[in-house]
Amino acid sequence: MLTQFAIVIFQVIIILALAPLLSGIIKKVKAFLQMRKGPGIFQPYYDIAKLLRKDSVVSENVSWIFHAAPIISFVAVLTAGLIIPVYISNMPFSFAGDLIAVVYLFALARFFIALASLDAGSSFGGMGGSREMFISSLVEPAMMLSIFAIALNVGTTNLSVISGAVSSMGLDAISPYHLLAFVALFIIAIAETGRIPVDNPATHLELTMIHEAMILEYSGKQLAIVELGAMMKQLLVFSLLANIFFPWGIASELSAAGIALSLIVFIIKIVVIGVVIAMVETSTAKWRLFRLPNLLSISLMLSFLALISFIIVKGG
Amino acid sequence: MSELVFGSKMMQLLIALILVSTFMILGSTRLYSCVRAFGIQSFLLAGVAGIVAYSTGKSDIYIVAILTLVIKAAVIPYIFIYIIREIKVKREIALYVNISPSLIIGGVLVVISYYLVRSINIRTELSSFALSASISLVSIGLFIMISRKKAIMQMLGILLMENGLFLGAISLTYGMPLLVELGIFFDVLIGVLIMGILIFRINRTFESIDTDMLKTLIG
Amino acid sequence: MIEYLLLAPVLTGILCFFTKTRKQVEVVSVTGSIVTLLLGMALVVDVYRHDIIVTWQNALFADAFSAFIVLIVSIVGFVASLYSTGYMGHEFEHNIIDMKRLKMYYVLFHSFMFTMLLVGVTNNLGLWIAIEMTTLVSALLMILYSRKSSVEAAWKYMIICTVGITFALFGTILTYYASVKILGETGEALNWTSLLAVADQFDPTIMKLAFIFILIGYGTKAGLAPMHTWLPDAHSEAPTPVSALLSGVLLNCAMYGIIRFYTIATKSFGTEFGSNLLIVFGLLSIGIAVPFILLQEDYKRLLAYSSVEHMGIVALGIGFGGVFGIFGAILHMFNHAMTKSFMFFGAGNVLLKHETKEIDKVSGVVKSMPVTGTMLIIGGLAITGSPPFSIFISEFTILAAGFSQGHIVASVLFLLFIIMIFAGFFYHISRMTFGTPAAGVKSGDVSRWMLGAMAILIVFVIVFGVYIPPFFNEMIMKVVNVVR
Repeated sequence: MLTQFAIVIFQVIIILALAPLLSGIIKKVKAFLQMRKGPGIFQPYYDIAKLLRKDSVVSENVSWIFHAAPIISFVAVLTAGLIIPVYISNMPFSFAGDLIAVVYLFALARFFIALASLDAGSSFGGMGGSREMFISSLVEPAMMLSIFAIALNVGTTNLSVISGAVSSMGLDAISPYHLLAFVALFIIAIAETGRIPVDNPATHLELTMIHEAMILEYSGKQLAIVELGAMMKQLLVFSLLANIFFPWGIASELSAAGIALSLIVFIIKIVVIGVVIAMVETSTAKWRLFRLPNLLSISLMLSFLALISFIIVKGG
Repeated sequence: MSELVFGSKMMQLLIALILVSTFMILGSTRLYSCVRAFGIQSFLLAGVAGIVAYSTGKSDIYIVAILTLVIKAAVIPYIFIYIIREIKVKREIALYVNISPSLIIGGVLVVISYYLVRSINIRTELSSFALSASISLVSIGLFIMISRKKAIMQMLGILLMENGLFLGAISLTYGMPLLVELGIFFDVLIGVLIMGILIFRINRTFESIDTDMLKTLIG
Repeated sequence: MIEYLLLAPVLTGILCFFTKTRKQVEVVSVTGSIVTLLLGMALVVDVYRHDIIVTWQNALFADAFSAFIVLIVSIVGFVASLYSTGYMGHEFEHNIIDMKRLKMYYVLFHSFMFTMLLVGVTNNLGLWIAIEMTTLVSALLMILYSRKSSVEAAWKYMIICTVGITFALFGTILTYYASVKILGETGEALNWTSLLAVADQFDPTIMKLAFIFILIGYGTKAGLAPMHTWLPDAHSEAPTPVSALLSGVLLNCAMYGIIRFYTIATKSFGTEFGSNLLIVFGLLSIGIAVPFILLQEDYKRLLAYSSVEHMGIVALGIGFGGVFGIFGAILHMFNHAMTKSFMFFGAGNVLLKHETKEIDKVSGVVKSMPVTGTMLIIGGLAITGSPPFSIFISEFTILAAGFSQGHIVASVLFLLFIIMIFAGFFYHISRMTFGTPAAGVKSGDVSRWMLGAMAILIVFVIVFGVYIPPFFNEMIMKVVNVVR
């Protein structure tokens, strides 16, 4: 019981600690690719620390939703973090929820931020909120479908079990549906973390911003929580990619050496994914909003193909 | 793990990537990205041929793989890019069927191909996946031809169909006899050149390469 | 023997490329086509004696059926090259094409001949390659004039036929798959000579699938409905001598591909499946031609739709089967080739004189061009199958085969359709030939080259209607034996 408690606490600490680092690394890699010097990789920590010291400026017209939204979304994402395997494949909390719960926890977080963006009554907020919900309506089904192909193979939607099973299969796990689902989820990851070509995290240009537009009204401590929540979500989506599709090296039993190794492997995987995302960001241009459904339908179709090829390969 | 098992695993991955590239063509609205996806697909096909050559140890198939690499992955995309550049066509492709419905139809075609393959009894794991991928490539190629307005895309659709057949031949019988394969490559290359000439002609006489214009001969 | 036959048009084409004047290019072209004709005849005689000739490491071969196709190609090719001299010469004199185009025309013309001969003599199922090559070359011939309509026709032709041929390739791959199972992976596994021997052991399911793809694929090229849509455009927009080759010969080449596969396929799964498919496609082609012929406004398209009809009849004949059905179909291929080229030449004369393709605007051809006019009337009667011309004989044989094999409904429909086509076709022809010519059309016939070409063909049209020479009869019987 106590060890399980420790596992959970450790997981929370890792998520909280690594999330800003990942953001920093992606920014640094981007800067490097664009021949800039860029801020150091620890800059996000400083930013959050600074924001936490500041007071919030809040519009007079907002209701309780505006105040509650950052906390709710933060907690929702953190709860998802307890279900997604990060450094160990048998999560103590895995009984509490599976893939579908993760998708809905992310949706909950998104929903409250979007609600808060409408609450303040500024025009940008509403625009950002509506765009965000538009994208999420495409992202959520695709995300579920993409992992379903793998879930079908293992026979459960429980992420811990999936991760452990794929890990124990070794190289045998690599198969057409594995690959197709990975490509599909990768596209989803781009959309889910608000990166180019779906959204640009570094812009405040009113025509293009989505996530930034939603949180425009936040400042100080509340902004820090929202930002940290977004970073955590990014880390979690990446670890979903890493630990569902390449879970090799993840610890399944509790031992200090195993966990240390697993943690190092995890960090390497996350950084590699981050670097790839940074490369995608630098090499593509942001798409027009109305072209986004195309990208997300490609992802949806690839997930679908993954399911079909699962049936073809397995059912022969 | 024997070489053949590893080979067939690699093969499956390559075929999955070929399907991905097909959907990239279906999902793209820019001529260049379509051509790029086609080039990637041909490259992957060459990889498939290479693996088959390696695991069967037949020198004939190596030749076919190299020809695929040179002709389909390099020369033909180059011809495409040359045409696009020379006729200064608008880079966006015009559609009769929008992207999202196109993608859905593509998915349905894959399912249909699978059931078609299932209904003729060809069993082994590798060839049933490869064969359904091949038939889906053929049908998606056909679909691209009828759902895109630009003459260039019709050319691309034909080549996609041809790629599908190549995959089918490889997966069914490890390719056709060398003489026939060489002939097919020759025909494909000449065909692309002649279609290129026709596209230039269409562009010059109609000042557009939208096939919408080609509607005078009826009845 | 076969090599020389293939070499002749290639050499002619190359020589045409290096000529400087109109005179030179015409001399080279006509001489070349005479040589091709003679070599073709020689091949026919050779095959007549030896039954099967195989050369070039089994890549090339000729049996009675190949020789038959070679005969059609070389006769029509020869006549078309004579006609070209007059027709393209006229275009050249009126500055419609320049010397460069004229030269290009002859180079492509002989390349086209080469590809069609290649279809006949390829041993391999890689026959596919040769048929695709005919498409490529003839598409280039079609854009000789850069008119909007001809570019459009060429594009449609190219795209539809290439797609069709892709299906045929799939059918070929499936056949190869079936044969590899029996013969093992040799280069021989696609050769007629090897395939025929073991065809009865092929997996019937796969062969059925293969045959469907082949029928759709080559059927597209042969102009069988409903894949015929490119045909009227292409055949009406090409230069007239090329139209004659396309309608008279190229369709037969595609039909040859279908029949070859049919022979193998029926050995594997019995006759019923294949023959029913052929009957359906054949009747559909004849039926679809009816309204288009009745309501046609363009006389070259009229002839093109008539080609759809006649290819349907050939398919129907093969589908009816039996010695009579196949005999009729083979004979019909020959008769149609001769008569249709003849009609296209007549139409070409009218086009040069009246400078319009619309039936409504042409009248009084008998008055403006007495010889052409008379020939058009004869041709019109012949092509619609009236006695005593050659097509009557073959159509009658097929019809008799239909009734005797018990395909009563199909035969009755067939009879009904050709009666309707006869009425419609002859109505259009009589509107064109009788009456008074439009003002401004000078009377006087076209050049002797063109009339000479037609005179050669009319011999076949008339003579074969009343008397089939015994050696020719025997040759067709040999073809029938190959096909059955």
